[in-house]
Amino acid sequence: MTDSRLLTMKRRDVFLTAAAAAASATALNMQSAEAKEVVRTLAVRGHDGVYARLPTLALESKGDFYAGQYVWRAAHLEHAAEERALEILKAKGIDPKSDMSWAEAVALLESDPLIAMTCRARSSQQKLKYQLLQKAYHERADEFLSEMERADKMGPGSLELNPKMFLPEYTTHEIHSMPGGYVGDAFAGHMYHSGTDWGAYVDYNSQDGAHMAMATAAQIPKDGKVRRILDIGTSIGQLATSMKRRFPDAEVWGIDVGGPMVRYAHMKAADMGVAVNFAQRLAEDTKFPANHFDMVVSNLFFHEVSEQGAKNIIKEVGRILRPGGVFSPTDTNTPPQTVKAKYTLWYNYRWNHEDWYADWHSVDFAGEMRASGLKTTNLQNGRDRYSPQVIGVKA
Amino acid sequence: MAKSPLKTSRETYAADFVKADYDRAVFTNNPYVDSVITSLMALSANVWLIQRRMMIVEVLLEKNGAVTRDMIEQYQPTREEAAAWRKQRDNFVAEINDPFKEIGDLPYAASIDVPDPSVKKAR
Ligand SMILES: C[S@@+](CC[C@H](N)C(=O)[O-])C[C@H]1O[C@@H](n2cnc3c(N)ncnc32)[C@H](O)[C@@H]1O
Repeated sequence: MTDSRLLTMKRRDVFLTAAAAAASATALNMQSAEAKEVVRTLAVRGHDGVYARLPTLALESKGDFYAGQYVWRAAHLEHAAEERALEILKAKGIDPKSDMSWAEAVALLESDPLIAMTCRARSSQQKLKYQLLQKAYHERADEFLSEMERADKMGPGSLELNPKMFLPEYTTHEIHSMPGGYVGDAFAGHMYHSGTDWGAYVDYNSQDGAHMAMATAAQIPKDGKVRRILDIGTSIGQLATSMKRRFPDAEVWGIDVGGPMVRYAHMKAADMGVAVNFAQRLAEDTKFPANHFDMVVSNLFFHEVSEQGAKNIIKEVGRILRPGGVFSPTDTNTPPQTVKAKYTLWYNYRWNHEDWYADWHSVDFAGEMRASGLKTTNLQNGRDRYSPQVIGVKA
Repeated sequence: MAKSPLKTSRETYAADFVKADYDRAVFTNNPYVDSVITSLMALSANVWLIQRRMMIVEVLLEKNGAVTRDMIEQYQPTREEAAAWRKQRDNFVAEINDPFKEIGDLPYAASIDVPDPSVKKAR
């Protein structure tokens, strides 16, 4: 790693005891506030639990509206559209669960104005919320960049950025319509955090609660040894920090292709007082030695990876896990069961730019895991949001 | 490949990216209608911001008898207030949006079930 910038390797031991890990999110934040210098110098509006509050009331309030808009669309508009789809299919004598391609489902439903409104509402909400965020951070870019520059060098935990790293083409798309995607905007991490809070995570991941639940549910190696953990596609580090909170004595790493993503992840974790090592690296080329990790985890990662990318990554996981080590990938891979669900998935793929959905559904995940030296187990409760459908244990 | 629009002399760690075409989709039968829906949503977000500020001002006046801009900006609602405001937000969002879940599906002139005096006369 010749051009790697190893910015900090400072660890502070004062911040997190096993007891604190079990404590509530708010307590965690208060304890860390006593123990360390201020990381989020622009969190002038204080903290709400473990999260720094957004920098202005305007941003927070408009975001609150977009969150409400998301909730309304998901609960009320989608319900009305479901009913309409049932009527349309009934009139044509088609079973709503009949087996058909995405294209056939779209052809059946696309011209109904109420059903099309679900897409319009999704698309407008995405556009407005990301525009709002990008504008807010770009307008005061100097301040927010200097806050990150300072945080880059702070602990606990460490940050490694590799700005000259090769980026596979598939990682440079504007996935789910986020301007610049994960690699192309200095504030990708900021935008992703609020974007998911006001969107996919509304009412389900406040205060990293979903990630804590995932970390708590994650299966550990049979011998009980958990010394090193890696989170691949860590984004803003929510699962990595949650794993560290569950296993305070383990060395935890979070890697992501996006430099701005790991920068934000590090700033967020340091602000929480949780020591995780974040690095801008590729999941298919992690640079870790073979047989290194006791656990490799991921969440909502593989559906955003190309088919070839997924195969390469699973192979790399097989290499870096130690014998007996566990790979737990959680994702949204339940195939759509109804005509309307296929229509919606197609929308997400085509117009929300989940560009790798189709690839994801075509990868034989368990088969690839076995080919990479992992013994697989299907989990009954797979995709209850917190559990993977299949886990792999290195032979 | 596209580049970030941000102009700064600081290191951004931003790379070139593949621009997507999400802004170009037309979902209704008229691109202007698409824009009006988006525009209405943006307007509503601004109205909600004003409403939220008003609620904060009212709470502060009640508690302190005076407010400053800074107090408004900094205010953190109590648990009870947050729950009540959330209800209010959901009602506000529903009032604006519910017409969209009631979009009709009967073309208004498709029915011939109309009394027509001239036809009656001819008979
Ligand atoms: C939906 S996000 C993951 C969410 C996150 N794991 C969580 O639980 O909140 C997908 C992430 O994977 C990253 N990513 C995509 N391809 C990658 C690759 N080949 N190597 C490393 N990271 C990658 C993206 O930059 C993005 O941050």
